[in-house]
Amino acid sequence: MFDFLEFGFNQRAILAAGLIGFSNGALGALVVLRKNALVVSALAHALLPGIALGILIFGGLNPFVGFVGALFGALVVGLGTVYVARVALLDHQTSLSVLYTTAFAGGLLMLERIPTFTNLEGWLFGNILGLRNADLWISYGVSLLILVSLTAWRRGWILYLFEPSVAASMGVPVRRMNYWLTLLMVLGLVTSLQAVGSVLSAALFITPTAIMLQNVRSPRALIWGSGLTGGLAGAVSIWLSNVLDVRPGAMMILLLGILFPVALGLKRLVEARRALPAVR
Amino acid sequence: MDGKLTSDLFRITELGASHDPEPGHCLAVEGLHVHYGAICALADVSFSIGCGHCVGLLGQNGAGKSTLLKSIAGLHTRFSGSLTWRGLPLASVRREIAYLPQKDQVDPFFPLTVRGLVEMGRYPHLGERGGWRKLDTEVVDTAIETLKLGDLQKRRLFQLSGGQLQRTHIARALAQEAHVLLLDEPFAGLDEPSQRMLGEVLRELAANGRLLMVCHHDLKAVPELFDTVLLLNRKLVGFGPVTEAFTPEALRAAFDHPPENVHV
Repeated sequence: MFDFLEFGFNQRAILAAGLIGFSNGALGALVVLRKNALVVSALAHALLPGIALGILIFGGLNPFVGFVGALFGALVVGLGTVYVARVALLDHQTSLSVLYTTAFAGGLLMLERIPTFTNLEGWLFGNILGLRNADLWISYGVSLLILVSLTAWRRGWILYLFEPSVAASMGVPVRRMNYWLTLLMVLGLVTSLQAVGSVLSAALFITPTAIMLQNVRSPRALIWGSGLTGGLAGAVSIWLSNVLDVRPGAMMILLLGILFPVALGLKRLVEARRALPAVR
Repeated sequence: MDGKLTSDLFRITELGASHDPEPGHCLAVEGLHVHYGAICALADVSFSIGCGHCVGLLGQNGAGKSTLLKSIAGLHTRFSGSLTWRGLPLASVRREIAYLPQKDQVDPFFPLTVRGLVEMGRYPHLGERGGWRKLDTEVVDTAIETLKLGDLQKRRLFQLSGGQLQRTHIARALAQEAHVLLLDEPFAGLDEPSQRMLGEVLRELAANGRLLMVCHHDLKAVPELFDTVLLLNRKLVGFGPVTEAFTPEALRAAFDHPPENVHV
């Protein structure tokens, strides 16, 4: 049953999926509490055109080009959104939607011009079994950065997310945290790109938190619970995908998607039981 | 919930505020100007007030009530003029000042209990890395008891009424051991019993030596709620004890269409 672990690529995949699932799940709690669930989905689409541009400029794809390109794409769309919203008097959602769809279309056309680039599917839908050691080092680094940031400001994040104005009046560095969270979000997206691809990467941020929100009563429980949920789902889905012989990235997201109604049902069951004596 | 808080006087006093207004405890605003781009929100506002007062900030929409409150809270960095508390610049005594935002700025589904929200008030004392001490638990307990939130402390925020949520925020200000409380429209949307109870809480806090600055737009209950009023119309148009400053002339200066039937 576990003999698939003998293969190095499977070990790497489990480690990477668990790690990315954990750090992005935990970071996702902040993203959801900042009401940025759709923003992260939109930014995920901006990674692909960035990578395509990177290949055109550097003439080939390696982990460095992928990382820098994806980062560039997300930052251009992210910062561009702020600028366009202000200049064109549009709300952020509208200006973000215009920019990320345009960028995605541009990316697709660029990729057509790259004859050697055959692995488009891997970037769209993830290719965790194809991870190399260099990819993993980037993931380790980003995960470490995310976890250090979460613990360094363990109280400040909660104040900032709940009531930014009160947090500012208490001396929390609200403006710096705002930029830092956006940067972490983009970095997290870039690493999950390798695992689940650009289209599904937002789910690693959002679904674990949606599951945990059904049960937790404190932000700290939400952050670490979402991390654990994401990490476990990541590792388990690598094994499941091996058993069922399906694509691991999609398996990961589907597993989380199935856990969500389970958590919701459990919560309703508990609430119904609690309410029973009052009904009697 | 009988709304009697008098027996809790000693508790409020325990949390850092002195019973008698101290001579040095004075909030002084001098020549405050605030601009939003080309628009002048506040021009040349100067006043000073000692602790032990409940001050109503009155004025029509856009008169600069919230702007004044936020300036004192340190949320506007671009202003000119001087703001001091106990003779010290406000930036250096931030933990002594608590800002309570408007209710509609609070997300009721944030995963937080009443107790969790009150505990946030310890941040200025603990910072990021300070360990939680027995003292912190005691201060939070006292704040919760003082505001009669003991039975509600495990509730989530969406399970609270508007008045209970306001009391939770005030409890956080007490947990912060704040001396000056800045409240933005705390009475908006409260029914009459909740409004009366909150009014009593504010009066008790002032009687125990705290300074409360309260944005308020309903003129009906002003004499019951506040002992001092400050009328704004982009500049200071009236300031003083409610018996002296809350006059028809002052209201005419503050409002383009002075409300009628106001019991002055």
